[in-house]
This record gives sequence, C-alpha cells and structure tokens, in this order.
Amino acid sequence: MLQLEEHTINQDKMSRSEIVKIIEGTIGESGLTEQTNLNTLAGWSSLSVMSLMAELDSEYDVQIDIDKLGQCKTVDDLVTLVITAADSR
Amino acid sequence: MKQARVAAISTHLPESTLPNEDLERDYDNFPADQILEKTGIRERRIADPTQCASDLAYAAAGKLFAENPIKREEIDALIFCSQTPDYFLPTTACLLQDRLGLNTTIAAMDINLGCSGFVYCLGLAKGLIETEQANSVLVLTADTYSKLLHREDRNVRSIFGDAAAATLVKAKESDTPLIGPFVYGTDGSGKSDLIVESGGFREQQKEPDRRPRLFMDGPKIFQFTMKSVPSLVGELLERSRLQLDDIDLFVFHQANQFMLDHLRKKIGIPEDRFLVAMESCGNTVSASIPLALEDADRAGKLHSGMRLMLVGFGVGFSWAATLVQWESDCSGATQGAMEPCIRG
Repeated sequence: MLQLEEHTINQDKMSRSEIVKIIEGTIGESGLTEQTNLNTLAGWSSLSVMSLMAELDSEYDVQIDIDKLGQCKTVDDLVTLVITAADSR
Repeated sequence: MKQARVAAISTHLPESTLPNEDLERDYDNFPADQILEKTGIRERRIADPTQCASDLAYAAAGKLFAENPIKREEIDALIFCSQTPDYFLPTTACLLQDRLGLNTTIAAMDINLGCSGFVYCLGLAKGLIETEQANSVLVLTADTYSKLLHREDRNVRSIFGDAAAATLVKAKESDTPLIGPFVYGTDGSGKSDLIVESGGFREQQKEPDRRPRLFMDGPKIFQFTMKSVPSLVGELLERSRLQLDDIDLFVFHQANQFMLDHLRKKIGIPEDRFLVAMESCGNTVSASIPLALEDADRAGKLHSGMRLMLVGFGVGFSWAATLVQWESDCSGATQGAMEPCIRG
C-alpha cells in the first residue's frame, strides 16, 4: 500500500496544551483556554474545521470524526476528542 | 485487438466571470486574497441565465469537430454527463444528437454523476468500444452548478464554476489497454452532505415551489475524500501492479486547492507530478479533469506514452479512478480560444 513520503508523522503522546496550540494555529486565535466556547470564536468556521482536520491528519496521523466534532461545545471537549482519537491510532 | 483510447479533448467556458473581488464585495470578512489562498481559485466562469449545460456542451463539441479530423457521421454513441439537464425529460443527449447533427443511428444517453462523472464516462465508453457496440464515442461532461447556488452561500459560490468538455473516445488496434483498469466506489450514505433536495420528487410535497438550491457540508466532504481517495489511488496501483513512481502525472478532480494539497501530501505524490488547474475556472464538476488535461497539454506538460492517473470523487458519494495512456494527438485544441486555466 501507499507509503507517506513527505511527512514524518509525530506519533508521540499529545499533551492537552499542545493540542490547544494546534487549535489556535488552525483557527487563527490566541489565548484560548479549555473553557472557551467554540461558537463564540470568529475563526471557528467550516474552513478552520477542515484546516484542523488536515493538520491533525498530516502531522499526527489523527483522524477526528466530524460528527463528534460537531458535538463539541468548548475547547476542552475538542481537546478530549483529539486525545481519544490519538489514543486509538 | 480493439482498444478504446482518448483521442481528443476540447472544452468551452462561458464568458461571464465571477472574480474573487466580486465575492469580497458581496460578503463581510471575505478578502479576495484569502479566497485565492484557500481555494486556489481567482475567478469562475458563470453561464448566462438562458445558457444551459447542454449549450456549453454543444459549444465544446463544436470545437472538437473543428479542431480534430473527426467527422460527425463517425460518432456512433453519445454520453452526456450532467446534473443540470435541460429537462426532466427528454434525455439531454437526445437533444444534443439532433443539435449536433449526429446520425439518428447513434446510441445516446445521459448519466447523472458529478465530480466522479468523467472517469465513469471513460469506463462506459471503453465498454461500448471493446464490446464492439461502438467505434467512436463522444463524451460530453458539462454542468452549470451556478444555477443551484444561493447568493447567501459564500462557500459554494467561491468554489464552483460552469464549464463543458467534449472528449472523443475512439477504437484503436493495440496489444495493450490504452484506458484502464478502473476502480469504482459508491457510498450513498453521504447523500445529505452534498445535495439539491428541491426540484426532484422526494421533496415535492413539502415545498413544491422552492427553487433548487445546493447544500454542501464542506467538512463532511473533506472527511469523505481523506478516507476514500488515498485508498482509491492505492487500489488502482495494486490492481495495475504499479508504484506511485510509475505514474507520470496525477490528474485529480479539481475540487479546490486546500483539498488537493492535503490529498497530494497524504498520498505522497510529488508536486511536479500533480496537476492543479482551477485558478481561472473553479471547480467545474465532471468537466474538471478534461479541462485540466487540456490545460496541461497546452502548457506542454503532456507527451506521448505518458501514463496518467485520473481520479474523480464527490457528490453521491461516488468515486472512480483509471489510467490513461496519453498520445500526442489526444488534444487538437492547442489553438483554442480559452485562456489557460493552469496555476503557476
């Protein structure tokens, strides 16, 4: 089957703060806390959701389920979803 | 042995344009440069209110006959692939047979597929030719999605453009296949993620007068492509007993820059063997692969004997991939009037 050639995927355990940084980077917001409500963020859009999915997939080989992502209300929910997905790699 | 081959491609785009600057004016916080950065699209072509997909297909077919040594009376099958037909009935391919002056002895049919449609058409044309039901198949892939887009939906308006492509698939004596093998896929559970509900009969009782409107759940489509496209490419390579390096050029459905970049990296395709050609036409649904091929040919990127992988994926969900051996006379459209659509 196909070999990923261009990326060395980071298979290390992801910390919660590291995931918050990834979220900040993909949605273009800073200073997020785990209590931040996603729907109050101007940068939280379908495009930023796709950017987050792409980043997690290509850099960390983590695939998050879009239906579960839609149920996330806070940054904390999203971080937990990413950690669960990362643990099932 | 009689083999099907892609013998010629000609395309047609409508004249009216929708540049990013117009979209920036229509919406808050939607800068033109950011649209280009994310979608890879600078402008789209939009059909006039009275212009249907069949009109664009008619123009593309007219160019095909003008630019190539093929006579109308040689065509013995016509496949029209579109999701924006003239009427529920009759079949638009029948209208085009008459309008194009093709023989009344031809087989003519519509197929309703979107972004996977071109590859499916090649599969059907190959089947008709290699079972000796036809010698020269005219494949017309055309859509006017702009007529399905709501003015308030900036996401879909920034992506889709109208276009048509005419592709001639002809019989040729050859010891080896010139198109194929094929890998197909279908998952109708994704129906709600890219859909036009109104206008058909399922929803007729609810809102009989509602105008057809396209709904697209971008992240769901993205998730579908991430799951299906890498395995589709892998399966075609396995079936062909080839490696990634054996493919000279990958021509994916031109969905949008963001999606193609991610798929290319995920699969591990080098940038110089991956075609991106949507900057001046947008996502043109089933016309996007032949448009990209014509652009590449015009840019001198295609040479005889090259092995191309064509990969279509989208609404349905539906997906398909095949290999095509390019021949130097595949496109005679190098003097065409269309502006090159290629990026970079």
